[in-house]
Amino acid sequence: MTMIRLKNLSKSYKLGKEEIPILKRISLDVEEGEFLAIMGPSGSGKSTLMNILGCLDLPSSGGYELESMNMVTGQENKLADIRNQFIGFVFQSFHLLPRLTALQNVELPLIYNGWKKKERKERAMDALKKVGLEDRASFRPPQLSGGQRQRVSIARAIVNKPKFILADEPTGALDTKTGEQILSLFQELHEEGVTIIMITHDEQVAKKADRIIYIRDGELFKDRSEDAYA
Amino acid sequence: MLENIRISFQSIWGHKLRSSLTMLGVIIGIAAVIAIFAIIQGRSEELKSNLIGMGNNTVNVVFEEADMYEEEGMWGGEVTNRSAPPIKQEAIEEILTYPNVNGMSIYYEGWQEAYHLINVTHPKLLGIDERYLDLFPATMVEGREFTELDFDSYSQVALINDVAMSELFPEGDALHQTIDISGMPFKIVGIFSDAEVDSDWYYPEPTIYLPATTWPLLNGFDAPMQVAVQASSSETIQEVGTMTADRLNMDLPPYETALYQVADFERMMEEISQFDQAFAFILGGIASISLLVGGIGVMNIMLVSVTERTREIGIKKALGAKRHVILAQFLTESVVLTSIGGVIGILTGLGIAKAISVFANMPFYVSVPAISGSFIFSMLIGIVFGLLPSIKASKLQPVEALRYE
Ligand SMILES: Nc1ncnc2c1ncn2[C@@H]1O[C@H](COP(=O)(O)OP(=O)(O)OP(=O)(O)O)[C@@H](O)[C@H]1O
Ligand SMILES: [Mg+2]
Repeated sequence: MTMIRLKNLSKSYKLGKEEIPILKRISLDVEEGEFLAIMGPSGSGKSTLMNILGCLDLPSSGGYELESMNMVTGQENKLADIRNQFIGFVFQSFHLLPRLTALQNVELPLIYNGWKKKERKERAMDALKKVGLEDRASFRPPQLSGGQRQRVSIARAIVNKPKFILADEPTGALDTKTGEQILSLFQELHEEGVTIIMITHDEQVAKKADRIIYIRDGELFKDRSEDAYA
Repeated sequence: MLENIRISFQSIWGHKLRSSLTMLGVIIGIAAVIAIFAIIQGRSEELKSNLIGMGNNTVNVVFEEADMYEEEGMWGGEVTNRSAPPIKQEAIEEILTYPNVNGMSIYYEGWQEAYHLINVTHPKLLGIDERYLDLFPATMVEGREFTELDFDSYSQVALINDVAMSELFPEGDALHQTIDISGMPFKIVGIFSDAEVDSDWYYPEPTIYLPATTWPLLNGFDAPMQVAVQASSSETIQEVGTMTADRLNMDLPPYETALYQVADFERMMEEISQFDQAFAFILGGIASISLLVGGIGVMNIMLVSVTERTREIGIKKALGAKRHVILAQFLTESVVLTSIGGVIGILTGLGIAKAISVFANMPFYVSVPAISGSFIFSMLIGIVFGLLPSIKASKLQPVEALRYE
């Protein structure tokens, strides 16, 4: 079943009087349960695409449907609910709140979803267990290693049982070995049926996915085109 | 909400120096209001209780040219130099039976030098009747009060207070000594202390009491008399004073142009409260300027705080926090900040007022409405000046906020 459908989606930024196109007429279907990797050179528009997929930003034109719901006309509070309930974010630089403990960080999406304290704590603890960090629940991000921080942010991404996970270079800030641990975590989630869209620079990383698509100068390619990575 | 307040405290505590500097404006503003208010209020409360009923629900009925209060206002008017005809005993007895009348005294008052050997004092001299000390109790330190016999037999005896004693008898031992007033000898039969009668912002003055019956020896038979009546409560003073004046006026001869009168307390109160209002106005001016400055400081620091936490806001929004959640977070922080400032300001202000009242010997009055008003006002400052930064925070676009380094 198709979960995400992008139709002729474009995004451009205004710089002074000039319109600079970043994404050009992108069409893409993502199936439920799929593990998709998006590759492309720096500045090609990967993060821009991910922001639109994550309802953090709106496209300039074109359509975006999530399970046949139109995402383009959504107003702010509705988009906040969609991000909260349907999407799990994993960022390259983790984006954890440094003053909160690991557990409190994982609890955040549940707070915004109106969960009661006790059930919230249990659910967040389960998510931390899943990423193998239950013994670090009361640690704050600065007291954790990079890999541990990324695992906390994965716990935070899955705690609300989202429809899909968006990961923007989740291994970009980690060494190869730690990166592999994070990837196997993603694979585990994938095997459980979670849909994952992952942006990466790294061919080795991308290979773990079911499907790789390439983006260059804001355009999508099904295969790696010669000059894109030359 | 509670969570928000807790987080606000943490974040304020996390920037101790910055927070306290920010609070300073609010602290100074609120402290100034509270301190000035406590002192002004204390003074005017005391002024009122002194004016009205001299602190013990007593009022003077004064023999004056008619309608002086109408034309001259509360302080004006001249006491007539013609003395009133003697007050009849039946009138006094009748007045004492009136409802709400606790007591009444007819006495003479003047300033005359008193001597003992080479020592001299210039005391307040009172010729008191047998009921005077019921209205204005004195604490006897030594000796006795006047007896009925003293009054009836025109005894040349005197009661002096401790201030007069120290001036006339530097070595002490005043009891049974004789002092000289206008060439007349008076024997001291008692020494009293009236520190409790007068309030703390009067300097204690030398005072000498003589039996009223001896007053004509010094000042002739037509010396002006004072009439004081005591009401059962402060609410009935006006009524008691008016009734007494009316009764005494009944006995005046028809050609008399002067009348017994009593001050119009409602009018006095009004003038005092106008005075208070003028002060409140000045006070309000000072307070609003310093609170405006304080509020702008709060706004400034909240704007800095929003900028510093752009990424935090972005993360929260990405995770599904809605506008009102972010708004509430920053608004709470700003209100908590100014409320802490308000509480510190209130305590500081009370401390300053207390210190002033101790050092300058002034009354101190803790006004609950002023304190709760200041506290609410400090919260209000937090809301007003925190609103703009909070709205700014809540409107941040998640993409922009996440991109912010
Ligand atoms: N708010 C903006 N205003 C103007 N231009 C922008 C804005 N956001 C992104 N861009 C531009 O869009 C282009 C694509 O940026 P994007 O972050 O999507 O690239 P990317 O593929 O994620 O690169 P990287 O691999 O380095 O993360 C860049 O050229 C960038 O300068
Ligand atoms: Mg990027």
